[in-house]
Amino acid sequence: MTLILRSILSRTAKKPLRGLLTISSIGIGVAIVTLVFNISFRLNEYVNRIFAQNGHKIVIANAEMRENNQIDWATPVQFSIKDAEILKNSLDEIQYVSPVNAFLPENRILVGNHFYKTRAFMGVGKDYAAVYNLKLIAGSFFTGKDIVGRHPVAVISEPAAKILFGSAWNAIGRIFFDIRRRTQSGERIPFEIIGVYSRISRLESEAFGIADFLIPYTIYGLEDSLIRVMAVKTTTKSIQATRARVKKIIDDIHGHNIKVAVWEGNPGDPNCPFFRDQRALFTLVSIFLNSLGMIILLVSSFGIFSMMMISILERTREIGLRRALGSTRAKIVGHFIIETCVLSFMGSLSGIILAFIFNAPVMNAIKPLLAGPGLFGDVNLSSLPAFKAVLYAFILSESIGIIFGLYPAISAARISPVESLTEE
Amino acid sequence: MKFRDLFGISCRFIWNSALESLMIILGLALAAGIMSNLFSLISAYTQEMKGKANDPHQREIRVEIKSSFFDRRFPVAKIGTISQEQFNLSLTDLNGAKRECPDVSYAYIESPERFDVTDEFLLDKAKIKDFEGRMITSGYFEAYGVRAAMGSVFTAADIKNANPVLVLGARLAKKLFPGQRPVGKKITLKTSCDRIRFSVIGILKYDENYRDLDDEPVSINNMAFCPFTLSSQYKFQKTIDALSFSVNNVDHLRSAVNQLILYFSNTYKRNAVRVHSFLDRAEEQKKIITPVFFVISFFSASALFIAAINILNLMLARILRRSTNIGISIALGASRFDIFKLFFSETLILGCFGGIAGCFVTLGLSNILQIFLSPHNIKGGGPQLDMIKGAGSLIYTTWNTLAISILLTVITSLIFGIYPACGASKTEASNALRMR
Repeated sequence: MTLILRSILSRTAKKPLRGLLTISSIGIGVAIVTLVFNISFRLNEYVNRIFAQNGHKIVIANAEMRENNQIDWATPVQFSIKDAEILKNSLDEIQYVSPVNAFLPENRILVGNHFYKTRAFMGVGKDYAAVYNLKLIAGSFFTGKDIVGRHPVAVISEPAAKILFGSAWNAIGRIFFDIRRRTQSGERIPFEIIGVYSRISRLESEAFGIADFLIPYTIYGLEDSLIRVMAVKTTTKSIQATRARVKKIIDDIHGHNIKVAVWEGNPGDPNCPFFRDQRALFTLVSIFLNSLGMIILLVSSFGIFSMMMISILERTREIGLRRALGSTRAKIVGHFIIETCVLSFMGSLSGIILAFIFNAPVMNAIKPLLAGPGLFGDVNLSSLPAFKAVLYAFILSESIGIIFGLYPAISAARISPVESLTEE
Repeated sequence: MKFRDLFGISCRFIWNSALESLMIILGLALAAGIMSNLFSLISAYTQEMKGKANDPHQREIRVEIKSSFFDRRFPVAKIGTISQEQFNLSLTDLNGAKRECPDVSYAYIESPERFDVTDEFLLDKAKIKDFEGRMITSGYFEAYGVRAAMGSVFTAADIKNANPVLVLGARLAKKLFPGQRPVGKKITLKTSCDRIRFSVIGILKYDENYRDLDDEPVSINNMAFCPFTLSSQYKFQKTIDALSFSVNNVDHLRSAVNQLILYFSNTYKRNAVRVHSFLDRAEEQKKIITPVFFVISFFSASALFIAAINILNLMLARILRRSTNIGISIALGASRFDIFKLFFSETLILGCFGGIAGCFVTLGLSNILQIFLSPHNIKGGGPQLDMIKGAGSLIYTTWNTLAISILLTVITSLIFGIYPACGASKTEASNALRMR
């Protein structure tokens, strides 16, 4: 082994340009493959982080799922708040349950003298923050008392607090009026802000329909503590299995067949287009870039192949001499394979260094595509290539190097010692 | 040396080490294929950004009251104060703007609406619970270039008097009234404001442009239309939030937008309305797609660079191997320029072969791209995916792309062939012959 390495080194020292060119050709190929692998790994990681952080977030609704994800809401509503409690107590996999009143679309509020339009307004239960891992940066979330007593309190998002009051702490204790809806006696409801939750990414808020303004679900809720939708955090991944268990328990409670639909994502709409589209886009970008990277690596492997062929042609006499001195064919093949591997290895090494240099600009260029229009900087991606990407690119380049080095090595072993030594 | 001799000798040298030459040619071809497909991708995007002349959505300009528009990127937006007076757009604006702005060809009002079927009979028979529709003025049909195939579309009186009349898309009419003549039929539908007994007065001609969207509710063929004066907002508040305008030709879009901005800032105060068109969407998309194209171009250029390095390396090795030959040639009286020509022409021929093979690779790759990016294979929508789909349908290989593939490889091999050929021509005959 040391002998082979020494002979490679001495030859490289004799023709430094050739070695440099071959290594840089492989290096660029490996760098690009590392970069594209890294992009797809980071994307996957990003999606998974949103979906599966500290458990899976699913929605249990009093509805039936038709084909192509259309939902058929049950009328009249059959779920009640008791069902939610029983579910939580009887199924170990369910960690948190929060009723959701997601049917409050764009709303208008009055703060001081100013009217504002709000993106989303949502009635939720006391465990909502726990279901979606919302971190409070100021104040506190609703308590059970707020929910039962229908207290007009609200928790708002950090960006909303910044726009309305300048900072999260400033928002606590402030009042806003909901101007679209009134109480039964005809008054506008003044909401007091009791908490502010920290910023979440747009993808997350669209995927799970997390509203900027959260109020107790009982305020505009259905009568007799009926609920339509529950946001649930579970430990199991399979939605179908969860649905079967949940349906059995709920059917037992009510004593007859009840519509139950379970899905992942937005409580208001199982086909949240934003998230589905982003996912499709991620897949498309990954496939496209990965195939581009593979083709480029192939181009550099062609280079290895022809360089090995040339090196064998140049060293016909050397090979002949070795064969004459008793080297077996297997040994010759092994020798040249190791040579290719060393070349690939050095190329990969330089490629990985290149990848570390170019990763940050490439990721920055990809970011806007993933974040969507006008959301630059919302996507949190590491500027270093993922270890997995580096490893995979390395393994791929080594194996391609071996595959493309095999033919030249075998043709070297076929050289007949007599012919090569007599040949001019 | 004559050109024919040069060509013959170079070809023989290439043939003598066919396998390694083949690999180099394949590498060049792949790189050239990637590059030329990148060009067609970029040109398809540029075309998509410019807008399609026959797409009415891209010719549309929407004028909205600032406060009624809501940018979903922000959690809250200020829309006014208690003391501030609210203003509203009116039908006068619609006609006035059309009169004052020469580039605007059509003016109409369009607001989306959902119709729920309430007739038991229809529910049982046609199995349609609800369908999408638009509450419009008749300018909508002109702008979209659709005519009635049966019956007629709305008259000005229908719109003014808010007559409960309905015009159906071709496919929807077939679904609602299979095997019957729909015109003159009565149908009770629930809109967002109340229950209306409509009479069907017309069926639109089947619009071929929406063939791809036949199963989607947003296709004109699947929609129903009624006068906008029936909408709850107009009925109770007499207000209009948004006006739509359209141009005949996409090229006039920018000037029409400018004219509209001028008209509305003269009529109301500056920035009271938001004028939005395809141009703004394209601008937003450009910001997203340009850096991605930079990355892809960077990768593709690297592929070409790798192929070029491989050529350089191969030629250098060949020259070294043939240094005795070169020495003998020089000793026999070949000029340095002859040697240069010999090796240079070899590189050039390698490049040409690469280019020709590159044409086939280009064709193959562009077929794969077409399938991969075709609207049928991409599930989902949204601004970015729509853009990709639009561009995917525009990718095709032209003679230009093929020419680019050949040109790129030839130029690359020219540039990277000079150094080895120069090196070969500088070989000292005595050194080369002694080295053996």
